[in-house]
Amino acid sequence: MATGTLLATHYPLAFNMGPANADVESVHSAAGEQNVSKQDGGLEKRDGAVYTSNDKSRNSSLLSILETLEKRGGVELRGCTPVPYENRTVTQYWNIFSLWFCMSCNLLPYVTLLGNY
Amino acid sequence: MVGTLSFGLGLRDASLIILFFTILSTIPVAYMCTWGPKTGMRQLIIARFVYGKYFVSLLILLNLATLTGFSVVDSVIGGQALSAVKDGETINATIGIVIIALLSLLVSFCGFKILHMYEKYAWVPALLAIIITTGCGGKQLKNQSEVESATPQQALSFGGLVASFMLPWAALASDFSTYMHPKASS
Repeated sequence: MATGTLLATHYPLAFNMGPANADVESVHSAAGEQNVSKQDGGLEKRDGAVYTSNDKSRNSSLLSILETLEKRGGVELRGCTPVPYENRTVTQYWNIFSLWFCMSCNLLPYVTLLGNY
Repeated sequence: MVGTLSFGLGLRDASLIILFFTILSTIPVAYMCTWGPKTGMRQLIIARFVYGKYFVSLLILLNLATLTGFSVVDSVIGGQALSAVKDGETINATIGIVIIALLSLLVSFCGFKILHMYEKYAWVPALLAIIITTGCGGKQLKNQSEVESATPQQALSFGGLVASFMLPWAALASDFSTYMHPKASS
């Protein structure tokens, strides 16, 4: 995807906090690695975000399945790498309320706090 | 009932304690939720910067323990509810638990977008079921036992229980807002 994913891949601990940091990191990133990434297809770029670079060939069929799932079904493939600034686009903040409400609105609190157990 | 049976509280006192301790203990969770849009990181990844790369695994372990407890209890009551649809005729509780666990595993693997889509609507049947359940027992609800008003000991220990129910969510508060726009008001 965008450079943010790549940078976060090669430098898992150099977190990409925003556009200001992205420039600094692109200076740091080695030229060789960038060339390799450019030659690869879109799938290989995504590759490193999920797996380490060693098992690229081994997991390519699984990855293509995951890739399809992400494109068609909106499945998230990001692990613990931070979301790049330009990918943080969701503005439906109301969803946070519905999510927490849904989490609390079940039988679990009844069992633990009010339940008959 | 933990509040009324174990702690000997009245319904009014227990309800008030639950309400106010929930409000109090969800304030830090809500605050941590606002870190998601700013950093784009999940909560325990943020904790890395505070505790270091290796010590944070202790926190992750503790978080796993609490959340596994929540999920186990949730699966068990879900499975029991599924098996109680028609007593003796439908599946037994064990199969119900397995079905619930597999379905929730499926949702939990799908990530941010699908989770938000699912949770946007999933509360409706749950809320309806709770309202219907309350209505079924509504006739007996006025038969509350007479108890003395709560002592500070009772209130604080039950309040601690309520807070301990809410505070573990802080460990994943910003997980659900990582894709939100950084300009979100906080």
